[in-house]
Amino acid sequence: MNKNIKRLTRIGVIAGLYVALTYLTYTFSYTMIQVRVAEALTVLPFIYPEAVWGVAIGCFIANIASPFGPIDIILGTSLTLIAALLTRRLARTKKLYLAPLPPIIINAFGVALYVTSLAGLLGPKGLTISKMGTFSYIFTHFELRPYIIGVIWIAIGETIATYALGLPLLYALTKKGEKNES
Amino acid sequence: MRKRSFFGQYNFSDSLLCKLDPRVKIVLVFSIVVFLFFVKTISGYILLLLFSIFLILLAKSKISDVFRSLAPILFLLLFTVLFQLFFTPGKVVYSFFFLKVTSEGIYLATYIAMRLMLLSFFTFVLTATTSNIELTDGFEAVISPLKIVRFPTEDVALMISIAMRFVPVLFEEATRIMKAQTSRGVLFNKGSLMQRARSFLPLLLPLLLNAFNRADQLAIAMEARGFVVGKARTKYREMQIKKIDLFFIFLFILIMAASIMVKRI
Repeated sequence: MNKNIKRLTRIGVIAGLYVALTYLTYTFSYTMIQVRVAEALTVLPFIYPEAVWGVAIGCFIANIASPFGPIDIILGTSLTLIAALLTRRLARTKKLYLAPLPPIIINAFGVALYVTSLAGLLGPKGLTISKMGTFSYIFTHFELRPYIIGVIWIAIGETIATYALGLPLLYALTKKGEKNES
Repeated sequence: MRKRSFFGQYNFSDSLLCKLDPRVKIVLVFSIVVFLFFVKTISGYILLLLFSIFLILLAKSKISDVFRSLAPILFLLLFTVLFQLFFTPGKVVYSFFFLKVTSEGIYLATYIAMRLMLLSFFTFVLTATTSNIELTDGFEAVISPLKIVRFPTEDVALMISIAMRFVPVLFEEATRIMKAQTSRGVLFNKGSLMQRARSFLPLLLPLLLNAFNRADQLAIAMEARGFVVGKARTKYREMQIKKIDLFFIFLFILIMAASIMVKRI
């Protein structure tokens, strides 16, 4: 069978699964610590190369409904794609427990950056509206604490999704001999 | 299970906004969201807020839906407002022990709260008035210029529509597996966050393997019908820019220009 079509449809269903899980666990995704169960799928590129685009497209679709809309669609999806590519890269090490690291690190530092700057928390010292959002201001008055809180916040949620759910999933999948079947 | 769009927001109505070209809607909402960051006055934001409320009314959306769309960012909104209110230095208006409220703080808190609300209101208008199919077609058209850098836009669009098509199927299957696993004693949504996340494994594993089976079957079906990857395809529905689209483009530009020009309060 044509490998390309199979790859295409698999990317499609992985993306669909990501969206379905986000929607299914909608209330769970938005508690104080946000655990997006679908983020567990970000470990999949470790064994399935097609999952790189699967999770990226899934994230893209899921983020259409995000309250941050366009910002989440563009930035969130790019971050997920970068993390997925890194996870794929890590597959060479053959160490499964490393797979969740890229999504945790990239999302925590990346998402926290745009969420805190969106909320004007990056440089509150002497901040006025006219200065807000200008890069020179953010660089010179960078306030580390709110950013670090944001990073830790997102990292906790992401760690729960990837290490408590994603990693066992990965172990189960490799044991089943499903590895790199395509 | 609730029978509706999986974004939980789209409701079909005969409103003007539903009839707009999805490409136009996507581009307008994206540009107004980027534009939000260039408006530096509260009066500009008030104008935009009135405009977004006008759009929500035009979309015939329920107020409860609008508020539900705000729920995910409620915590961030509260945190931000309190943070700006108490930790912005400036002229003290009110003090309570170590907490000082400054006039600058009130100003900033209002500004940022309005920005976050505007963000989610405009996004809401887009998802509430556009169906999944329209969104897919729209996004395909919007990303099509990326063809120049050899980005496979048609393949991506196809993958998006496969994904969209499978969401309800997978969703239903997930609910079924959840029921089956619950009858075997799995407790979803119980215990600590860690345990709750872990409880999804008996759901996720069969769901994923089933999904792969479906994908492979779909691939066979597509191949049997002569599908070739990367070949140009035609569309059943052709999108067309109409007069009403041009009117809304004009309206958006007008509002954006007005909101950046209103005097500072």
